[in-house]
Amino acid sequence: MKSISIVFILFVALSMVYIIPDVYAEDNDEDDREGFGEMKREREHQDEGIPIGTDIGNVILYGTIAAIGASIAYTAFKITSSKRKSSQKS
Amino acid sequence: MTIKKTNLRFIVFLTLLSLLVIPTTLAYADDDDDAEDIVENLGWVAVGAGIAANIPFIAMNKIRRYAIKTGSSTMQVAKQIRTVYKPVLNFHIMLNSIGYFAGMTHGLLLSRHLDSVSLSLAIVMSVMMVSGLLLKYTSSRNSKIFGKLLHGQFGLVILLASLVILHIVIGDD
Repeated sequence: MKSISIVFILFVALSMVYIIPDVYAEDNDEDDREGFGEMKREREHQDEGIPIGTDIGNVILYGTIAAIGASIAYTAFKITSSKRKSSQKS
Repeated sequence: MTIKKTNLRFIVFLTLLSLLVIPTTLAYADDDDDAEDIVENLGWVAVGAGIAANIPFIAMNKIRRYAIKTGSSTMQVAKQIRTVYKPVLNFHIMLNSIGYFAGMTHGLLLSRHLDSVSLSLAIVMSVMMVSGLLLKYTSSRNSKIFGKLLHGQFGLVILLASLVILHIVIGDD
């Protein structure tokens, strides 16, 4: 089990090492012109569907996190309640 | 012996996965339009893998449960399904892992366009993946039950599906 987790973490770390430089390698030579890259990026940000920080964006993000938290809590509650029942029976 | 075999299979699977995913992203990284197309296609690979991995698996489980519930006449069907359960489960795990890594690569390479739907989608996908790994690889009874209950929760599945649809709709605009 330990070796599986070590291999898994190594795989994720290796993927990050390969992928992260690519994310920053997308800039063109054209973008090196002063201010051009920033302007392009700003325009791209304006084109985005539901950016983080807006009202709808926050509702979606926090709603998702709340739903996940609720489902984890519900699962934990179900396990503890069934354990309590079984211990009361015995 | 079985644990060693499982480890070896897992290592081979991860190596094959990295060989498939990483070189393609690297090979097209210089060419902007091609690279963007490839990265977008990775998203479609994730969606396709998710559909192919989950719909047959969920349908099979529903049919099996229904067959067991209805009684003796359909028990034969349940028994037949039981024989193919293991291969279908392996198929489900393999395709979902491919879909997860393809989706995450797609998300990381397009992290410049990150929005709340993509972030929520990544969180839900990670929760489902972690609960699946917990279910598959833990030996403790409690964590197995926890993984099983969390992984099969209908609400999370609906949330994931609706986020995928929302992400596609927003991405197309």
